[in-house]
Amino acid sequence: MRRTDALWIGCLSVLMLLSLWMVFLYAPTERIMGQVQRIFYFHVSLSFVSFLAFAVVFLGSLQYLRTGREFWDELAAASAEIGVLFNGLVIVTGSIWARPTWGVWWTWDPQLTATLIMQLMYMAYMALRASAEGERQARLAAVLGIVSLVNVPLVFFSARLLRGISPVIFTRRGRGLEPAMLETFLVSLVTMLVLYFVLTRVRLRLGLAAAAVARLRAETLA
Amino acid sequence: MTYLFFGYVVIWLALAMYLFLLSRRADDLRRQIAELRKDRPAEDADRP
Repeated sequence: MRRTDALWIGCLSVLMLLSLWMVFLYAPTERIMGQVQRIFYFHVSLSFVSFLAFAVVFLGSLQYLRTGREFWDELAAASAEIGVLFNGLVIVTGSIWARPTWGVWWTWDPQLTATLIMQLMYMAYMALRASAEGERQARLAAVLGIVSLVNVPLVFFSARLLRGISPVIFTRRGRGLEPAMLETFLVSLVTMLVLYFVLTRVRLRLGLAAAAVARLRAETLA
Repeated sequence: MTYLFFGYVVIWLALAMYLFLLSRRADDLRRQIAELRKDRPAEDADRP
């Protein structure tokens, strides 16, 4: 393991322990929802970081189409995979939170529906990448990676602009959180950002190495 | 409390599974590199 890797993993471990302590022991219990509201800290953080992951897919895809460099294609692929993982967790933890709060596991609320559509589009992006190899497939995937970003503002603004039951926590008029809850949320958000960075770094390195091995294998066979 | 417990268990399980998947991909890559080394011994011998 490289020294910088050890440093990042150490930093992530400390942040993870700190955020868990804050979520379970530091943040006060919410009056109406009770203990289950503590899912919020990781649920919303994962959601925000999945937006970032999909923005990186957009940038990586755009750069790949512009320059044709393999690095950008692999970066988009790595970020999409982690974005799908994080957004999948957002859907599952949201459902677990919804059951005791709304009385249902799932409802066709605009934000929930938009989140599900976003998940399906990025899963389609991954399926397209896995279906074949080569430059044409990479270019097609890049186009889908660019188009799919339209989902991010749809998910973000759907709770604000359309009538649904998803709560809007951060508004222009102020934050609907008391200071200890906001601090816990911010630490959880930083933790998820570092987790995203560490996972993307590892996945990107694996992707680049796999592409190099595939090239060498093709040369050997030729 | 049960829902809260399951919420966090799901997160940890998914992350653990993803890390396991990444480590399997890395193992597979190591195996492929070893095979390539066997197929291209002459070129490898030139390397310092």
